[in-house]
Amino acid sequence: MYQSKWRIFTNHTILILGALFMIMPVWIAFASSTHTREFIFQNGLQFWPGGHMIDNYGAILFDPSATKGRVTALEMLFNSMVLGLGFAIGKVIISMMAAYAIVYFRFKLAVPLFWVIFSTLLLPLEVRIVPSYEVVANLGMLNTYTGLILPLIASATGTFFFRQFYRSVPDELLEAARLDGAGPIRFFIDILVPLSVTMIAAIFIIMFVVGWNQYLWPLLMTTDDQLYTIVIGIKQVYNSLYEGGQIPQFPKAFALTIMATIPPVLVVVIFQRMFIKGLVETEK
Amino acid sequence: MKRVQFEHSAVPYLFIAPQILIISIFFLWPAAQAVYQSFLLEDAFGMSSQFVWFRNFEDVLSSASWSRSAIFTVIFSVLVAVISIAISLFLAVRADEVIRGAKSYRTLLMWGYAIAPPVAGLLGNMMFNPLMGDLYKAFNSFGFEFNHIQNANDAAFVVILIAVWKQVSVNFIFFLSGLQGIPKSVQEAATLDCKSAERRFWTITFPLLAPTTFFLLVINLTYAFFETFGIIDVSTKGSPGGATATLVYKVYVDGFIGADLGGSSAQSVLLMIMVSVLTVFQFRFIERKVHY
Amino acid sequence: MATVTLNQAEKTYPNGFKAIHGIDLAIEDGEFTVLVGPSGCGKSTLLRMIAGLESISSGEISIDGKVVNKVAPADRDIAMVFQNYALYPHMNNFDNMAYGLRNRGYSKADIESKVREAARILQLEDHLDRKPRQLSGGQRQRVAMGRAIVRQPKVFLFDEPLSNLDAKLRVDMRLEIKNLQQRLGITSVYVTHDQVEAMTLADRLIVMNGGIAEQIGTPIDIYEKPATRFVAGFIGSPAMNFLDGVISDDGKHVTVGDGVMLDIDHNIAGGRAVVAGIRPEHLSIAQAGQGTINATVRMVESLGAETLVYLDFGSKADNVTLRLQGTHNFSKNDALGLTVPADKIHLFDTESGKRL
Repeated sequence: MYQSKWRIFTNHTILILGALFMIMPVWIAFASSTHTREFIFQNGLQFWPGGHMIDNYGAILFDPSATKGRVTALEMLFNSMVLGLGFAIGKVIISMMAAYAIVYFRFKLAVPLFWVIFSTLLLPLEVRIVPSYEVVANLGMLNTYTGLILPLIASATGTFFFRQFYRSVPDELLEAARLDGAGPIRFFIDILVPLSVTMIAAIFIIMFVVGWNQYLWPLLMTTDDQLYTIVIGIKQVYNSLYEGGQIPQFPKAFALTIMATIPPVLVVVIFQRMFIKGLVETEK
Repeated sequence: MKRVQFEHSAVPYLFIAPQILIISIFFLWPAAQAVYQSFLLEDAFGMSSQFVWFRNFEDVLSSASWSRSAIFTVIFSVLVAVISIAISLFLAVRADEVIRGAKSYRTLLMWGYAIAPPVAGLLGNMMFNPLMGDLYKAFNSFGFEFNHIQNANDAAFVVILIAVWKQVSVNFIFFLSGLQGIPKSVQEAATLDCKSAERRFWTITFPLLAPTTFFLLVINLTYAFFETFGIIDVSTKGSPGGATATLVYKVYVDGFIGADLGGSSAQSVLLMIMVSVLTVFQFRFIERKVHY
Repeated sequence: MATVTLNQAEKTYPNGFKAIHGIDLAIEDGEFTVLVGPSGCGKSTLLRMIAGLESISSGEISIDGKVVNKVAPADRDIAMVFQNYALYPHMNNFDNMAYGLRNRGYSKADIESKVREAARILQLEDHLDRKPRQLSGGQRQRVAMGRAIVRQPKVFLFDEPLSNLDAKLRVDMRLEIKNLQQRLGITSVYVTHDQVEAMTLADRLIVMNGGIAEQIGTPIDIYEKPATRFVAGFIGSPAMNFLDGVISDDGKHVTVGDGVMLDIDHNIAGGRAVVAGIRPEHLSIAQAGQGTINATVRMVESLGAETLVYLDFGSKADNVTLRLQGTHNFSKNDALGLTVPADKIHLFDTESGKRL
């Protein structure tokens, strides 16, 4: 299509400004994380990287004292990975199965059970944190991965994604499979799951990022710092910045922030096409 | 639903059981608990409790801090939704027009989706740190006398800015794919009929994006209600004096830090009602869009 | 090899809509039966009832003498070819054909030989390793047919299998299906809305309308003696001309238009109001005058081998279509006289539409 020179020029200018708006805070955090704490304390935030990147990142990755606790950033990354993967895998499996029952079967309790699942959309975890905490405490699941992951899975978003997708699968495939002698379980395993591969991947990516970025629930759940995810770790480090009358350890706090950000950003950027497809097609 | 379905007695229950089990334990039970507790009054030591009907609700609704928080939540949510939608729409329209570097721009503008809200909050906190924050210094060097530690409006500005920054990329993704979903032939027909790009946008493109915009409005309001918890908790912590505490943040503060279970539960129940209304609204809209 | 028998088969949906009103039908072993009708007439529903994909509300369907009302689709020993192919997109073409055999526990060697044989018949040998999406529409339809024939079922069911193909391919595939069916001799039921497909493929044709079988018979029977006005209008292209008329007092003529008397070959009491049906190919041009339909040309379509002439007739401006062999030169408003042999006039009851 025809575009005037001026329009092309303003388009690029606006987009570059937009990109800078998004990137600048993260870049400044990164640049500032590569200086010594004394330097940052005296000179403020930095735009250009300094020479202490390896020192700072190495310290928080491997030295528990750098993160003000008994746990290193490496262990926090591991916890985040467990949370992200566990959440994504659990969510995908459970919602695929539930959506299959809802879409492909006629059974007595279909309608009431659908409404039970639907109702979880009405009440995000945030509005029921206090009683949720008590339930998990009663079950003795505080400070366990199970207690961390399961309550987060108790929502229907994934189920609705798969419900939408299944409904778009042509009816004739089921009919052909039935004529080919496939029962419900075989149809699910042989036909539906392989057909859903792109969808599964897209939802997996979205859920991994959502799981990795969880904040409120892990904050309440994990009193034992062995279970801190990196997102929670950042908060603890920032909280203790001004303790002990020392010069605040800003660079290491920034380094932790950057490390918390890199994995989900990489996942989203690398699997961009799949991720956008999943996000846009399912949330409709 | 499907034209053909399996008629089988046990299999569907088997498939739906895991989800129902998890929902029952970690959703229905706590939700019922919240409703039950909202009718109880505990003594100061949590030793005994007493059934007080709607007293907790009366207390919550008549308390100045709750209504203040409610008003802030509404203003905050509307501003965050409108501003971030406007910025993203503007960027998406330009990104849709660009031919050279289109992919790079898309990547540069969408990656923010992956940032955790508390990380966004920390980055904002850092930019506004009175000791070294670039934005803090910049505003004050222009003579604004900016002080978000003490001034409620300045603090609100900080949270809104962070919340908008975090949400721009999500909206951008939806708008860009909405724009790319408009048939090329429609855009070409519009170019023949209308010379001004601006007019073309408001008369052709924007009406075609209306469903996307409306959908995003709902999504953004939900985001501002709930997902900004992490942002607030690490940037202002609701200060000064609860001026930037959204309703969700207040439930947490009163329930966990203040240990007022009854009051916190009553607040939860009120929130549940509000969210239900919002969600039902959203679903009605989605059902309508099917016919669009 | 099997017969298919329908005994008062009915289908009523839960919302009360009655899609099929009691159909009786006996399909013989090896017969090619075509269900034809406009969309929504219930032809696909009937096919799917035979397949077992729709339940039967009342009545009976038997395959090879055995009532199958409660038999699962997979156990009816039938195979079906769908309009949109319904191939499994994630499996290659070999696996698509083999899937049903595997589910039935055939041995590996057996599957291999059956699929190879089907592929040979359908000329798909070079495409077995590919996925369905790498094939053209016609090839995909062949894979779908291969999936049906590997099992050597008792009955083939076809649900508008050619309607997604372009015109030329449709003709080729039509011939291929007929050829294959004759070679294998498998009882087949074929659903289509295309009357050319119906006429050319069918041993026996069932014209359906509103959930009712309007007429069952050989294609030529149906063309020559349509049982109802609906069948008469549906089969034949261009469609039959219908003129409102009255039987003359002596019962030897029908009066149409502004008093034009046409000879008829029926035995009907005089004075009765009827609908006279005349196929466009049975009209011929004559000197305008008494006993001819005097009409004026509105439009002409020259197809080369034949010419279609659309005319207005009488003061009520009835439309008449005329079909002539070869090319002809007419211009708008030319006046033509048309005649028709007495035995080519079909008469239908005005109310019921039944043939008289």
